[in-house]
Order: sequence, then C-alpha cells, then structure tokens
Amino acid sequence: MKMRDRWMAFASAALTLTGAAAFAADSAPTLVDAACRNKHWTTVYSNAVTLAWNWNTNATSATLAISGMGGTLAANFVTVTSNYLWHAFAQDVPTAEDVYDLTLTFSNNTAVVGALTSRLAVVTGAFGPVTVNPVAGSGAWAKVKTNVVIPYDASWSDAATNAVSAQLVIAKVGGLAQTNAFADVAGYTGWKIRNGGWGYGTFDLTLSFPGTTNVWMAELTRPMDGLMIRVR
Amino acid sequence: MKTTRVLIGMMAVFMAVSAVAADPAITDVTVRQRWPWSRLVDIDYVLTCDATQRVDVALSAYNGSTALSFPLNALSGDLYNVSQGGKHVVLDPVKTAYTNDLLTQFRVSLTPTNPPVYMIVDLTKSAGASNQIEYIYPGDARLATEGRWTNVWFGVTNDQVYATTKLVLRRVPAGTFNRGTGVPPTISTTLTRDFYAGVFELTEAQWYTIMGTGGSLAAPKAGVSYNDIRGATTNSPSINWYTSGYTVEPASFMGRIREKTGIAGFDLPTDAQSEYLCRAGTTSYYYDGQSVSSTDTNILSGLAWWFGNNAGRRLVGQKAANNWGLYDTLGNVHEWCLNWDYGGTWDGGTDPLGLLTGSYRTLRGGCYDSSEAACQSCAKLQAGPTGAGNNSGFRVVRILP
Repeated sequence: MKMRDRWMAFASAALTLTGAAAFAADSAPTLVDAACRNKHWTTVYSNAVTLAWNWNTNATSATLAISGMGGTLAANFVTVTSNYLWHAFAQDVPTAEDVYDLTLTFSNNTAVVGALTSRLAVVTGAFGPVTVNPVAGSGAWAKVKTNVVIPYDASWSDAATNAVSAQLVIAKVGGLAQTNAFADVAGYTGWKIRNGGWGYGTFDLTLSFPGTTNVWMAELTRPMDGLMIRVR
Repeated sequence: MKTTRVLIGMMAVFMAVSAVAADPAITDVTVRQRWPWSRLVDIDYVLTCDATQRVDVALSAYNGSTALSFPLNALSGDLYNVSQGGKHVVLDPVKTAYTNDLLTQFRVSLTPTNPPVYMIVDLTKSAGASNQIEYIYPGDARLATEGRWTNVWFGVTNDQVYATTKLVLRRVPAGTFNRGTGVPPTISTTLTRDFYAGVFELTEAQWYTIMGTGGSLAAPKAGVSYNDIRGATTNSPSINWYTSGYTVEPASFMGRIREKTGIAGFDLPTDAQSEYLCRAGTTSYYYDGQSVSSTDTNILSGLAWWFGNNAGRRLVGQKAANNWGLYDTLGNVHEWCLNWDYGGTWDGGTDPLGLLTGSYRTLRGGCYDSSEAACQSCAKLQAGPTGAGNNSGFRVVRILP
C-alpha cells in the first residue's frame, strides 16, 4: 500500500520548454516528453530551470535575454559558459501563468556570430490544484481580465493530426487584429491583454492549423474593471 | 562472517532495488483546461514501467479535499492497457455531475494498477454513484485457478444478483488466436485491444432493470432484435455499424445502459471478439480444449444447453464455464454480434470488422435448439436486424478506449 501511495502522483509542477534544440547547438538535448503528442515541449518540475547550451566557438561573449509577459531578464557571459540556472519565479508555486521567449545571442568583439532561441511556459495548473469550469452557461468562462496563457494542440482533433504549424489570430471587434504564427503544433502562447495596448471590449480568437480544415474559435470579453452592471 | 553479512546485505539491497525498478510508476502529472477553446481538461502523465508491461491507470479526482466521482464516459485516453511513456487523458467535465459551480481546487491522483479480472456494475445505480462499479483484481480470494481455469470467479453463479440487478464482466486480454472451422482452426486473427465481456448472456432481469419491460428471470433475454439492442439504420441519424461506429440509438438497450451507467463502451462484440471470448484460448471443437468433432456430444452437454439436452432457454451459468469463466458462450441462445455477416466466411487479420455493408447481422454460438455441429466454437449464422427470435439474445461487452 505504501508503494502504491508512492506511485500516486498529484498534479504537481511544470515548466514547459519549447524548441526541439533548446539551447543545444549541435544536437538535441534529451527531452522528457510529457505527452508524446507534444513534440517540442519538455516539462520540468521545479522553478529552478537549468538552461544548457554548447558555447559557440566563434564567440567571445553571450547575452541571455528572457522576456515574458510579467517581466524581462538579461544575463551576460564574458567567459565560456555552458549553462545558467534560472529561477523562473520566486516561490515554489507561481502566482501567475506566463510564457517566456528566451534568446541566447553569441558575439565576438564586433558582431553577432550566432543565436539560439526557445520558449518556455509557466503553467500554474501543473503546480497543484487548478480551476476547472464545467458550467455550460457560465458567463465567467468568456471573460478575461488579466494576462493569460492559451494552449494550442493539433492533437485535439483528428482533422489536424498531420498539421506542421499552428496559427492564432486575436481580433478585437472594431479594432486591431494580431496574427501569431507558431512553428510547432502544440504548446502555449501568452496573450498580454493588460497593458498590452488591447483596451477593453470583445475579442474573437481563431486557432487554426494551416493545411488542415480544423479551426477552433472563441469569443472573449475584457470588461472594464469596476464598471460591470448586473441587473437582476 | 562479516563479508558474508555484507554480501547478503548487498544482495538484499540489489533485490529491493530490482523489485522497485519493476514496479510501474506515474510521474509528471499535469492538468490544464483547454480554455478558451473548450471545457475539456487535458491530463498528461509519464508512466515508467518495463517495456512489455501494460497497466491500467486509476484516476481519482478531488476539489480541494472533496473526492469527486465521475461517470466513466467523462474520461477518455490512456487509462487502460497502458504502456510506458508520456500519456494523455481527457476529462469532459460537462459530463460530470459538477456542472453547477466552478471546481476551484481541482486535482487528480493517478495510480497504476494491474488490470482487473472482473468488473461488476450495479445496474440499479446511476452513473458516478458510490459503489456503482466494483473491480476484482488478481489475488482476490474470490478467484480460483484450477485445471483449465485461471483466475475464475466461480462464485458468480451462487448469487442471482449477478444475473439480475448487477452485470459482471470479465476482462478479456488482447491477443492473437486462430478462428474458423477445423480443429485446430487456421485463420489467424489479432485483437489489439483488451475488452470486457459479460460473464453471462444478458438476462431478462437485467434487461428489465435497464429498460423497465419484460420478464424478471435470470434466463437469457430473447426475442430481441439487433435494432432493439443498438438502433436501426432507418433511425435519424442512422445507426449502422460500422459506418456510424459505436454510436447507438439513445432509446435502444445499449443507449439506455450507457446513459444509466455512464459507461460509453457498452456494446455488442464483433463476431471475431465473440469467437475469441468463446474459445478462451482453446482450439478444440467446443471450448473444453479436448473435443475434436461433433461426435463429442457428451462434452457439449457439459458445456451448453443444446438440442440434445434441452428444450428451451435455461437460467444462465448452469453449465461449465470456459477457461476465462464465461458461461453459455455455446448454446442457450444465439448471441447477436455487432457486424454485418459474411455468410460462410470467417474474417481474420487485425481487428476484423466483419462485412462492412449487408442485409444480415451475425449471430454466434448456437442455441438451445441447435444441433451439435451448430454449437461448435466457430458456429455462426445470420439474421436480418429486425428479427427477434425466441432463441436469440446477446452478450454485453465493454469496449475500452
């Protein structure tokens, strides 16, 4: 029984690292594939993320830039370095979801000689209890009030099984539209709606997988804080 | 002496480590709802076990510390007969009983288990009700291994509740067998997925418990057509295996039992599955493992109610079970199968589907007024889907996703 208890695995932690060759210049690193279907994301179970790479032999320095919806980070390396321990968030459990773009730029004294990129998502749902909305007519379902991480995965539909890329279009009704193209078919993307220049209103989201017929659509509303009027 | 103790200690450690290494383990569980695209919830995990090992995964869900109970049709994906690696389960929370409020502290617990041998469904309880489903695992005191039987629950015949208000199903492992006529048969057939098979032919009482009509005997339900069981091609939408897959008419028996129990996989077996569960690993003329021809009527009489020993339907479970503990897979009543019938041809290969279009469905196993040859393990005949003979019934299987 003890052994069985040991097997029990509660929904725990995850950071998700994207990029088939995440910071590996010559060969793909060993990936812990959390979901086979999810080819380009690896999951780790700590806020301490070891980023590893092969140093570009033509470089004399490198800069690691990490940019997320909640902030940015930069680290400079002026000696040959092959890894960096990054604490993606301060506590054991993240307070908000986020998606980070990671860029490692190698330079010599005069020019950029190489770069590696990757993406990493912090998904709170992988660190413990999550909110699940099973209410069919829930108005809260369609409201968005802060930055969000949105999942996409071609395996959700058989019609998109052979997809090789994904695309998310966010269109504000009566306003701007943003097209997000992804080179992979499964992962997460961040939508910085707060302080992102989107304003308030209704947004149409369209997720598609080019070359397939499958389209997912959602309509979300960002209400003006403090101005919600409810009539009974 | 000291050296010996050290060696023994090292061996003990080695054996302990080896034992742990062989145990399946689940790690890296993540849960996330597909907001804003749908309410489906993705549950990912990694199973570590031996390369050839297969396990079931028991899923327990909680909202905070409150245990949640889901009907089985709310879950799909890698829960049964799972091999090592990254796996994926999908929860449809809309199909649960928790649709009146947010689950703000939702979490799951996944446990690898050996596949159960039996599954007992209380037909009087609704989907997700407490103790609605019970599993019997290897090692359970109720199971016996003797002679040609392995892990068989003979006691299932001692209490009529298992043939009236409960439904007992035996886990049938995926495998390759030879089917068709001849002893031994020669048509190689592979079924790639485990499934559950009713231990008995579905009884009148079980039919009554689900449908509210008919008799109350623990004898096979007869006089039901294929269309009564699953629905008709003339329905809208048309119910037409294999074109419409496992979809059934909601008002049919399969529709009602799925709705009542929350188990989406209930259906009829294909005729390949039916022959597989009947033979239970044997290649003999009947399922006893010894018989070679229709002259072995004394053997048949120990296994089945047929023309030579009977004049009508009999209570289920009175004759000798096959190797997997399934009763009356020969004789008593013909058993409807899922597929259109090939006539005098048995299809082999991998997961054969039967004839894809046709006018007649397959019935298998012979009945109480069948001859000794019509009760052999490969026996099948055909009938139109609206036929409802008094010698024809069915056996429920549960297809695993």
